[in-house]
Amino acid sequence: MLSVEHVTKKYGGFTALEDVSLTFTPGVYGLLAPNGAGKTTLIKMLTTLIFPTSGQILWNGEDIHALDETYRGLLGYLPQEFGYYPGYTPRQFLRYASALQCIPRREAEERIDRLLRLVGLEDAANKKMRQFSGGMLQRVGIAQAMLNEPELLILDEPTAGLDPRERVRFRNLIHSLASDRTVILSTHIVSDIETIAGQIVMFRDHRLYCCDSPSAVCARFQGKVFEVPAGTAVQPGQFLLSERQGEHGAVVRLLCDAPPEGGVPVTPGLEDAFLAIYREGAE
Amino acid sequence: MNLLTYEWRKLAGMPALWAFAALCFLFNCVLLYATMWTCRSFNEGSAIASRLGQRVDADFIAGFARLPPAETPEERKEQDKLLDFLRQMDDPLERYDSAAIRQSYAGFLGVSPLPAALMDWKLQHVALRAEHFARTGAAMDFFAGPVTLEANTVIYKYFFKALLSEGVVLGVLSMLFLLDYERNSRTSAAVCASRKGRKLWRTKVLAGVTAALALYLLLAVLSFAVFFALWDWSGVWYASMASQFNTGIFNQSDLSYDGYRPFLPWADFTAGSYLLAAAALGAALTAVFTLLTAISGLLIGNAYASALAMVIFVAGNWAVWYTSYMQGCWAVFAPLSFFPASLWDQTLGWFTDGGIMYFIPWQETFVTALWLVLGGGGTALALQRFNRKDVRI
Amino acid sequence: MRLFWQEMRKIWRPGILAALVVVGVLFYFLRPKFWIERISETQSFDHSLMLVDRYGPVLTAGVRPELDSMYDEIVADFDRELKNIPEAVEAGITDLESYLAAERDGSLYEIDRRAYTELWQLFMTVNDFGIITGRYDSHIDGTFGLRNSPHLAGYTPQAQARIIELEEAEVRTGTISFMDHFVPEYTADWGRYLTVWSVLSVILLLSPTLVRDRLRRTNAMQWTSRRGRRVVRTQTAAALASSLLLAAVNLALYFIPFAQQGSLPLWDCPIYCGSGGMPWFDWTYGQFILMLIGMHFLFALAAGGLAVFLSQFSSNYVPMLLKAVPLFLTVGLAVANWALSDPFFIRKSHYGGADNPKGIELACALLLLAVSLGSCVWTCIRQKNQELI
Repeated sequence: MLSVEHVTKKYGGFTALEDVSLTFTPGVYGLLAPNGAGKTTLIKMLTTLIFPTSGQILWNGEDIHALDETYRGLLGYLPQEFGYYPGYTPRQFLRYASALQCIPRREAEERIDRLLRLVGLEDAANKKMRQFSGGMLQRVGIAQAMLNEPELLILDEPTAGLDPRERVRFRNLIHSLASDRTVILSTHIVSDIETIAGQIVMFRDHRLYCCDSPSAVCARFQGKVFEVPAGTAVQPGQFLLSERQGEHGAVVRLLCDAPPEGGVPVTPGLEDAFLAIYREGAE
Repeated sequence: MNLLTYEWRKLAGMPALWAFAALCFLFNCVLLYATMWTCRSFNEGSAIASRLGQRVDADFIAGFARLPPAETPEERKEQDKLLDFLRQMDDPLERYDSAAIRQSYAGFLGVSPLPAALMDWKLQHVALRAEHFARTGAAMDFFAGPVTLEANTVIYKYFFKALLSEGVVLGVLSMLFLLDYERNSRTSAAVCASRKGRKLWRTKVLAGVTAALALYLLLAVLSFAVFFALWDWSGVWYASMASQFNTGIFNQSDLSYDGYRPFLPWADFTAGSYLLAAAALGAALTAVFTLLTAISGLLIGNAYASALAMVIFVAGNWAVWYTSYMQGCWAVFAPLSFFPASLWDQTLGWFTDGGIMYFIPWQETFVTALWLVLGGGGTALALQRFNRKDVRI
Repeated sequence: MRLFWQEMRKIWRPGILAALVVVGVLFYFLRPKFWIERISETQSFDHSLMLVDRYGPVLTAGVRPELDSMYDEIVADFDRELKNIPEAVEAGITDLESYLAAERDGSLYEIDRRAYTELWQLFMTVNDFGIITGRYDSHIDGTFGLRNSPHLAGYTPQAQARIIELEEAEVRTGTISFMDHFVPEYTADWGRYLTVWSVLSVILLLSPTLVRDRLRRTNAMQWTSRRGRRVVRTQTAAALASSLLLAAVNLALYFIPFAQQGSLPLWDCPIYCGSGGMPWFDWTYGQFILMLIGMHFLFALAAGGLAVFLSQFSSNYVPMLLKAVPLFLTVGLAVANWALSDPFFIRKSHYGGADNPKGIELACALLLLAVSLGSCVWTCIRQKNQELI
């Protein structure tokens, strides 16, 4: 179990995260927030890349920095910008990663073969990575994150740049991995976590806003989201969430306490909740 | 702000550049400090020239004889020796024997007809310069006295060469930095897809060259400020570089001729104008190397690999040039003396016949101009190729 | 250990190695080749080899008389060979005496250039042998030497004591080295150029070490792995090992032409040759060579450590090169070049007095190494608390 206890991170006069407390148990957690909200800051603290200004992060009750390599040995991390050596093949790169993870050679080879199959790169195992597409590189990144069979898997914007097929593939992969480990997925692509995250962690104004199931998050806005035809004037007290193409033309979704004229109530989705929570001027 | 200013800003934002420039300036100051011995003697000579004028004639000799005696017995002895020399001094250029020199070089270069022919043609022009200086009496200038040769060696072989080397290194690395900037900051895609597109690299080349010249100028101004604070040039600004006290300033390892080797510049350079000309040529040479780096950087695309390529180019030039000189392979040596790295090596002797190192009059100027054209043309071609190359993100 | 080899692999990149080979070859032809070849061209070199082979490393009083008869044989050979140079015979040069007379009155220089060169080379055979016996005679009778000269006062008291010690030992033991003083001098040049090249090649190889990971953004993966930030220790160890390995390769390559010069049979000759340099230590030529090799490895290792240390402060190759250039100039061209110019010999300063206390060269190298290794340790410690923003 991973606990974040009253963690604050400041850079000089700027507070990136303030007094965040969270507990992560096995399952999939989605960190959902706009850019600059503090997702990556939290992730970097969870992965020991930066240090909290105050507070502590505990793994099974022990400070992760004190645990040192024991903690990192059970951690798998895919950074937002996955770095690689262009002249290496995936196999060579994973061998390097396995050396970093202190995995014995024979075992490492078996795991590399398995992981390359898992991410669908067995045919490209010996091709130089400079020839890879963005999706293929991302799969190598996932493979290196899984190399030490982590109990805690942290993925920062893992589907950025992936095409829909790859994103679905990725989601299925996460599903399969999440059964017996803690997976923390940081993204602002709502659809990615809507289906796979058991808990959504949201930040606002550099503080923890909520940590709840997707249905609970959406339930806060039950009865407050309506669809009206596009072009309908937005009245005071109403907030424009999004536009989409409906069956009979463009429609807009509004957030308001009272039903608007001509408005059709809809079940709020996670995207609606996201837009509602992070709308400008929201309290 | 125009794009050129943005490129300069990128360069100016690199702390390592300024730290390196500061180290260069510090090194130049240390170099000047190490030459204080020569500087003291030079200042004494310059003070004499300030008082008595440059031309060693009857008035000069009379004035020198009336100078207060030096402080120590050794210095008095040197003073007397110099007075004796001045009294017997004549113009060696009046008896300059170009035939002996031409014969010597002909024997030296004999196995290679074209270099030998070029050298002979050059030496004919040298003879004309000797005649000209004999008519003007330039060899009778005092300059700074007996320390002149040593002083000019210090200035041009060590101090100026250091300055030039620093300017070239700064120019090369500045150019590489600018060319590689977008790749390192992962903005290549955005930049190349903009309206300006790949044409930005033309601006980068221009920014690199101008920045190289500016850095060279900055270092030169600061270093020469210290230089002139220490070295008193008030009496020598208008001294002729053909003064007989400036004899034999060529490359000391040029063994092609043992006889009398006057310093015969192709124009009537005074000490001041020669210094300015050398500084200007140094700036042009800096631009040459910066342009060559632009070619290397545009073609190779990796800053470190491009830097290594430049090292190989310069080291290759020097190594083959030097080896061909030692082996007497003049057919190889002669063309290589038309390369910029050879010029960089021969800061002593610019604008003169240069002994065995140069084969035509004004060779250093011709080579610099040639390589500016080649560098510019090559850069244009490299930019054209770059415009059609895939952007590697 | 696997990570160590992986990091070694990252350092030894084919492109950089190819460039080093090219630059190394060019550098060799630019300077070292000329000086290495001069070792066997020193005066009396061939005679020294022959004499060492016959009598051992030193000329003793017991052997000295035998050299006179050898000299006579050489002169007789010279006289015989003269007859094969018609221009010499025409000019009346038929034996050593007439040769020396022609040299004195200048008539020697009037004969054909090719014949003169041949004559000169023949004469050198005689002259070089005479240098050995002349050196012995002038030193052993006790009148020759700095200890009897007012110039001794220009040295520091330590240097004076050492000079007196060396010269009096000669007189007391009646022995001098068969080796000419140019041999250790040019051997030191060999060591110097080897070291300068090793410093340059090590800096070129290692400067990109930490820059590469920053550019490729692999630090996140490295720091979050089980190794964590300690990966820098392995990288530093790999860099230092690479310095030593590259230095060893350079030594092996430079040793070939050096050995070909044929000076190794002089291994047991004392480096104090009775004239020229005054060594601080009573070493043989072989020990001197080993010391040069040791200094070479010290400087190469120091340069490697400093290159890695500086590379952590650079976000890309150009700032790294702006640090690498002054590093090479300082370590290679300034410190190593100074330390290995006549190393471990008393060097008189231009301004009077000895400018190199005993063992200063080794002290400099060790100090530089200590700074380098200390910087590496600091790098590893620093990494522990660094943040990857």
